[in-house]
Amino acid sequence: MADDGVIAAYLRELDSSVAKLSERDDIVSEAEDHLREAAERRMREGRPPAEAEAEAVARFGSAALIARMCVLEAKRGVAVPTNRTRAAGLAALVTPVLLVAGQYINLNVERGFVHGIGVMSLVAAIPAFVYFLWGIRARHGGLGRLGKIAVIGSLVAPCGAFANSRYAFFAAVALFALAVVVLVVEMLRANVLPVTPLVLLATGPIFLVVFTLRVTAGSGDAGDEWMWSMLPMAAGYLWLGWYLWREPAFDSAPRRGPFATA
Amino acid sequence: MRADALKGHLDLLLLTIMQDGPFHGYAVMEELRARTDGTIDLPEGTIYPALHRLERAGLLVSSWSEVNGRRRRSYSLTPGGKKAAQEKRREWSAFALTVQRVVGAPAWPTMA
Repeated sequence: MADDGVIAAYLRELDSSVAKLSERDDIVSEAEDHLREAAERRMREGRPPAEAEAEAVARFGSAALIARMCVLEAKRGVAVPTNRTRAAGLAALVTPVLLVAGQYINLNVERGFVHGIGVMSLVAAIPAFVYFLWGIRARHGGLGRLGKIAVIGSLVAPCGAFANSRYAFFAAVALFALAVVVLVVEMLRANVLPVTPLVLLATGPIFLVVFTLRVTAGSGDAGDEWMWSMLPMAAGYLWLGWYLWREPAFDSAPRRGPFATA
Repeated sequence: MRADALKGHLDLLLLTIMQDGPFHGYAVMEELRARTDGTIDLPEGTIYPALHRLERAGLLVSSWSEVNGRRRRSYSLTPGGKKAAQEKRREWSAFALTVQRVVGAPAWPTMA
């Protein structure tokens, strides 16, 4: 970038446009290589240097556009199964096991080592659930801003269930249902995963809202009956987990062995 | 062809071109232009963020070298990228066939 031609000026502008990005140096180096090569080619075709540089820069796209594309592409994923999305599927399969086993031990075993294992299982279900949500979003290549908000909503909403107020609990349930439904709609629109488990995933929270409304309007206490309304969601959740887990990962290296053909 | 018409298909194009790689960014654009007779007309710099994303996803791998005193980054497909290219090509063929059945269907017969 020593000379003061059009390319050098453009590279300075690009450098300041992508200054906040971690790949800043690489982006500018690649742009320089591209622009110099494009200009050299035009000069070989007989264009004057200044015109060749200006044409190369014009075809490359404005620094603002490149910076914006870098940010947008960094947010996007690739809608392909990877080892991480497979691991997310496994996390989905493990979550209910951790929850059920943990809760059973928590309620039926006296305090001690085994009881502690049960409580740890319950706690471990939370990162497993978070990992599944992250993985399913990655499997769709990002799901856009709405999908991201829905993922955050379905993580935040369950926290409200711990509030010692009927209305706070209801608000948490409503937020959770809304977040899951939005997430499912975004996933259906992306058309990446099978429809049936996604629909099952959305019906659970809807049933839960209806059930909670009915209970709130009535006696106000339904014990643990609300859990039944979550069965379709659990079925959809496990189905999706199994689906993600059994997909072949694109980022896995081919197995090399004595019988490999190539 | 405008850049927005390519939305959603750029990955397939890049991965397919890379099957004959390794290529650096400028060579990718040249290949894209040559294989489409210059029909595809997108701002050339916009392929780099896409190439970086494909590399982050483990479908491409890059290496740096020095050419004519400049740093040059060349990309090639990983084994996963080859599988992804095949899968995306299969999806595209099925999609194109479906659309062709509708768009390319003979017009509704009319009374003479």
